[in-house]
Amino acid sequence: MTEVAIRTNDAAPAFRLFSPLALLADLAPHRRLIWLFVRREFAQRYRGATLGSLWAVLQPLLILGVYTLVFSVVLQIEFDSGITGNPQGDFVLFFFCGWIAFTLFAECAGQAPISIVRRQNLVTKVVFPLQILPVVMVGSALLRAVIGYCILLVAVVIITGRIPITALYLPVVLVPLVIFTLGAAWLLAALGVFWRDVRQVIPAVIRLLLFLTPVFYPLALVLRRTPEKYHWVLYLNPLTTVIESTRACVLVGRHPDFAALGILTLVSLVVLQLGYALFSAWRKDFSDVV
Amino acid sequence: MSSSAPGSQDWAVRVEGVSKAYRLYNSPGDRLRQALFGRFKTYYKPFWALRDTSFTVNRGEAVGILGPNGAGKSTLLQVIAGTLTPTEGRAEVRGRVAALLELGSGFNPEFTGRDNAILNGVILGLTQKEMISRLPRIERMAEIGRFFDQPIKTYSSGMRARLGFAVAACVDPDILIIDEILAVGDIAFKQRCISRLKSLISKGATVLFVSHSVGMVRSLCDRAVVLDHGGQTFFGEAGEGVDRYINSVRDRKAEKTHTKKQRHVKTIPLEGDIPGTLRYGSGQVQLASIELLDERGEPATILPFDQDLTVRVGITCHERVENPCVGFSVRDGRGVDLIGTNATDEGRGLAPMEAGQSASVSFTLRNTLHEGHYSLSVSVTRAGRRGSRRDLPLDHVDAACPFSVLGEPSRPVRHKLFVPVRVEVSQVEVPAPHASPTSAQ
Repeated sequence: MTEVAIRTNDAAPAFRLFSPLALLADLAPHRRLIWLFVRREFAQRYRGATLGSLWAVLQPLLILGVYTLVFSVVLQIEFDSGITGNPQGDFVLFFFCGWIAFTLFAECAGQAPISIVRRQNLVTKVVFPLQILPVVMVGSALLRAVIGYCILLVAVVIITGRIPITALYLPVVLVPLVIFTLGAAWLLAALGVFWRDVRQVIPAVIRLLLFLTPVFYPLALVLRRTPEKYHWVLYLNPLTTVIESTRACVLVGRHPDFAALGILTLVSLVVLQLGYALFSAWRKDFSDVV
Repeated sequence: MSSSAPGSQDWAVRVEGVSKAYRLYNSPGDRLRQALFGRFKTYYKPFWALRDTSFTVNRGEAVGILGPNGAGKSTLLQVIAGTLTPTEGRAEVRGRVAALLELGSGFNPEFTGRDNAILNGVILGLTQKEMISRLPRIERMAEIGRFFDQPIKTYSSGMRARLGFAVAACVDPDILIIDEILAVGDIAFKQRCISRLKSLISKGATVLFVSHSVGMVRSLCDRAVVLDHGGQTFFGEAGEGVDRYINSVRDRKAEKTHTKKQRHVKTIPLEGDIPGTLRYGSGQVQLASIELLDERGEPATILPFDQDLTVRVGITCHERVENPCVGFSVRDGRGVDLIGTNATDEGRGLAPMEAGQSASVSFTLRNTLHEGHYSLSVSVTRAGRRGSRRDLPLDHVDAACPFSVLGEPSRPVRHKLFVPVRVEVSQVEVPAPHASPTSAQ
């Protein structure tokens, strides 16, 4: 008996939109396609370049080099955290920890509003599981982040000559980040289809977020210098917890703040489900406007 | 497999009351207002691209979708394919659907034809391995040579169509949806497509097919859906569908003329039951009967080749007309008028007619038509006036007296019509060693 597909305008029942099981059921059958697309996206990024996918490693190294040059050599900014015994070396590692996580989120948030619109063919010409496009985007960004973290770990070994055992917690720290990013990506992708204004606003928001996130500075510095009653603003930013936990487990050798990560994971799961619900509820109208 | 009602297992596509409305917003702000306050007020104007369409396509059937531009054909296909959500109603499809809705759909221009073929197959639900095993077949069928390994962005539109069709045909779809893409291919490609489609259909695939080439619809499809202004005007046998479509196009042309002339011409309602699909005219003189007779003067629907046939037209006058003229033409299955004349041109113009008077005109000609199906178009007009050809006829009917012509095996007709041809042969004789004097006989 062949499968029957039904096309109607019936809205998906609310319990489906808000069910994590439905979310999984909407992705699981397409895992091969997701993986295929992630690889293609990765390949496409470096297609035509003479050095090819070597750039996946070279690019973060170059960026690390630029920031090291500007902040450590020119501006001589120092973090004296006592990890390396070299305040400028500390800065490079601290910065890189934050930069990888922030880039992962910023790239996804920046591309999400156009992730559906730019694949017009897939929306209007073929029956395609559109919900995987944001997943592919996050997956491909994660792939690049993983390369970044590998470089980070190597850099830690080179600069400090050792690596804390707590670095093994890194994957756990990244779980809420990936969940949150995917939720935001679904949300922004759906909004971006109907309102092209979203993609204009996002770069400014990301810029603001960059300064609200402890990328260029350690959180402790801000906590010391700002009145305590404003601290909650910093913790509202999910990237703060992720980045500080990364620094704790990879550089300092402390256990990450599991309580904070746990709460963040729960919040991220809510964001994920909301993003999925909005995306699923609206996707039947995508082809009317794309 | 066993329990449902008899015959219900055979459908492949079921469309029930499908309508599609696009929301037209004056500004993006209105879209935002609709999203926020939509339950209190409507901020858009609906545009109905498709209204209340219903039909069922059986497995292994080919259905053509006909209609003028903007009739809703592509919208219908997109709803069936699943890329557009219907506003009302439901469409059900059974099995794997491959849709060729536009040139190179789903193709990523940066990647090679080979990559895109694999990707398209995976999107259609095949595994990568299955797709790789089909690549040689796709490559052979697309016939784009070494371009198969070049990025799609370097392709011509014809090459994209070839690749798109080759991929769609090679994934063995249960339902294949094709939207006019064959129009860009050359003749050889089109013919290969048709034979490939026929073989898919014979293997049980269902084909939905939009084309402006009525010939293609007629030769390929069993049934047809005719759409006009978003509404379904016909669903049934393909040949009849094509006739309806052709007539609706002509009808619209006639309507245009009609409305232009209407201010000057008084019309009289057309009376009587004249068989045919479309009848129009101002009605001062009206058709009363149309008969097609064979050599013995008997009404006939099957006419042998190379015998006389007679078209007898009866007319009745409702209001005085100075110079009535009766004419006819023989139209083939594709809507092409092959033969025809009118009484005035033949030097047999009618005398002025008064109200209540009637007349009969017979045209007799040798049947020189190729074997096939034909029908008559018959009209009464005013003759002789300058530009009268463009006048609204007094009474005109299309597709009257459908008939078939039987071929004569001893005298094959190669093309549409047989016309006596005088043949002279002058052949220089090669002097043979034993030239026989009897050859003169």
